[in-house]
Amino acid sequence: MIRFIVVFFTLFLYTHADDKQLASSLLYKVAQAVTNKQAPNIYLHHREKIRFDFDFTKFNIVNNCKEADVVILPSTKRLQRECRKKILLGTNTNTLKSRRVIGAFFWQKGRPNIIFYKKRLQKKHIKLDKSFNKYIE
Amino acid sequence: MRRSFNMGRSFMLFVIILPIMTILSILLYTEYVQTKDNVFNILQKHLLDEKSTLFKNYSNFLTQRLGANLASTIHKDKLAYKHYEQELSLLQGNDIKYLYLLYKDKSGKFRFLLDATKNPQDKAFFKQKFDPQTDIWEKAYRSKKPQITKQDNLDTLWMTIAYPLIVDNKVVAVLGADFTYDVYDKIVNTLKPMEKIHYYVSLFMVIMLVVAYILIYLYYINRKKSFIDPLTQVYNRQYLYEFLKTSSLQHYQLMMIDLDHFKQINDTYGHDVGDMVLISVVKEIKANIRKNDLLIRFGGEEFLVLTYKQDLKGCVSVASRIKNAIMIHKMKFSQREILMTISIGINPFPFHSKNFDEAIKIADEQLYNAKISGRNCIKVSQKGTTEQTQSSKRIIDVNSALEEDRIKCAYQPILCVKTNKIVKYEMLLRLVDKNKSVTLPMDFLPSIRHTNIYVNITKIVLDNAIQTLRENNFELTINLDLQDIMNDDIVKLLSDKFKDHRKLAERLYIEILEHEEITNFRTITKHIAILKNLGFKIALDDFGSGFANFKYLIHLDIDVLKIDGSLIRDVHTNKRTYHIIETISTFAKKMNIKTVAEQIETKNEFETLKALGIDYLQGYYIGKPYLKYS
Repeated sequence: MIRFIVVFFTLFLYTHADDKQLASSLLYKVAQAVTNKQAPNIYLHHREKIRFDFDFTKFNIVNNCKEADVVILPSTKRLQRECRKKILLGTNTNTLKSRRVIGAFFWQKGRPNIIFYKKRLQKKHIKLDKSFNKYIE
Repeated sequence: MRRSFNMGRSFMLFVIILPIMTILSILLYTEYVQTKDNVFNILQKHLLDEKSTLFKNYSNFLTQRLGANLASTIHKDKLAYKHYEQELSLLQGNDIKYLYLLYKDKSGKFRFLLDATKNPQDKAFFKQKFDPQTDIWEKAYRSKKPQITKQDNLDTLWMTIAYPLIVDNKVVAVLGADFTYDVYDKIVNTLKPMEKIHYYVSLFMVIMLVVAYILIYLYYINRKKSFIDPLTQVYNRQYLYEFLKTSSLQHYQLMMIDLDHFKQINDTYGHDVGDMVLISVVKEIKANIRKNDLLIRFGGEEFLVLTYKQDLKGCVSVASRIKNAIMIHKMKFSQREILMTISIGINPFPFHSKNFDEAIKIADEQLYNAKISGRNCIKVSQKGTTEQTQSSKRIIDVNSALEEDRIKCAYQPILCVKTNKIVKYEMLLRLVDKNKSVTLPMDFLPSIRHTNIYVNITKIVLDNAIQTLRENNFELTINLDLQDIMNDDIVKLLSDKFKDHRKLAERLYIEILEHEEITNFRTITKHIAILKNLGFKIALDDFGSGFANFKYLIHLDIDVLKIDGSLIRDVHTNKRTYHIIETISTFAKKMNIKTVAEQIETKNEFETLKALGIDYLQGYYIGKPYLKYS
């Protein structure tokens, strides 16, 4: 009976997974890919300005850039010095204007979008899995 | 033997109706969902047709203007780019959320050429890479035909169309349009209450069904438990009475088995060993009876076996087998060896007994005989044997009387007190012997009751009744046993004979005689209703004595009450009898039921009953039964 309930709710959640869950899961995968870590430490810069409502409960969120493997940011404004050395990942297209940002994961036209810039990745010595090739510019 | 338990008609009805209701409600729900989907499909088709025409015009317009170099032309001129985006936005109505033009670059990636989106957050920058979620874009390029996909994975989009722009049979760009859920949402919100009702009704029915079946299962298990003796795992006395409700003893022989000196086992070795002895004995009995036989633990160490379809010899043989098997069976308990014997009393014809208790009594008497004869033996009742021999003889006599046309009907007149005239006759069955002596029905009907001869005699009575009613204007009364009224064959016979003679049926009274109390009012009420529908009138015989009592009048739709002859005999001298008949008469009048007093033999009885307001009188004082009416 308990097994049935577990399977039922898993299926229920799977079939009812919304955009928020989908986007959060993709962002986490991107963070894993750029850091090459299973559970990367993530610092959220200007968290309140992140337009899309991600579910960060499953992320290893840290409070400062020192401990962070990757910094997710909606804007590069007022970015602390120690953060600039880290892998910067934007959450909208505007962040891509800064050359420090290696790429962005953003929600546009109701769809998830990923853009990486080859040169910026090389500069940070980041090698992405082949499956990410289609996202690299 | 696996036997089913009677669950009750209303219970079974519930078991059948509930799944039907559940299936119906689910069907209704699925039909509703299907209809809703159909509505959306029609709406979608309509929308797509409309937009396809619009896109086709736009496509023609743009390709004619810019030709095969559409992408490069737009790229070159920033002003033209803004202008084309404005033109594109003109196509965007309320139902299209995003409208854009894509092209494929040299590396095969899709990029935005134009984007009519107003919201800066959603607007793609110039030449921005487009990440396709589906393969419709590739398909549109390859097939050169518009492609549609439903965006099941995305919350805010309903469907997307990819419309190829073709120049010289080559796709130069693809027009993309994302449709919003707005229309869909409006319809869904309108229909939601209705859908919720259907959904919850179906859900409720399914839950009810599951709960009902669980309850039925638990009820069945508990009911089964209540019929099984927990120690020996054979049926108990409670099951026996349940079994008798639905089964006839006609094909069974009754055996009472008792363990000899069982009390000594309990006293010497204790109850635990006693219990093991019982279990062991049951095992042996079970091994020596067939699946169709029924073993019941009747009391402490007393068992009852109903052997199915055995003759006397076969039944005794089964009993001997059981007795011998137990006699040689060594029961070992804690290094002790116990040998048991049993005594058996057999009633080979339990069906001939008035009721089951009497059948048991006969078997018990034989068991007692076996006990006083030194135990470890079998005694068989001779009562049934004699009766059966006599019965067989009687069947032959009745059959030959039937063949030789010696089954006759006598007619006894019935006087109407109001008109002082003979208005009806009671038809009475007579068997005329070869030596011309007359035998009354009570002396030959019981032996043929369960044979086909009985039905043939009933046919003769009914044929006679039809002929008599045709030839005369008076009414007739025939007698049928309660068992006849319960019998589907007899009711069918009455129906077949009178279905085309309603006028005759209306002059025929069926007098119900009964020798045992009515327990199954449902069947008898149903059959009486059938007979009354055919036009027959129903009379209750022997009212005031035996089983015929006021309780019957609550359940049965009776036209006439025939007061029992034993009450009539001293009505003019016995005050109590007088008051009883007076009460019956008053009650019947209030109930609009006619009364008949029978067995009137004296003038005093006649006058007293007349004064008491009885409607009809019958008896030797009025007229004896004769083979011909006069």
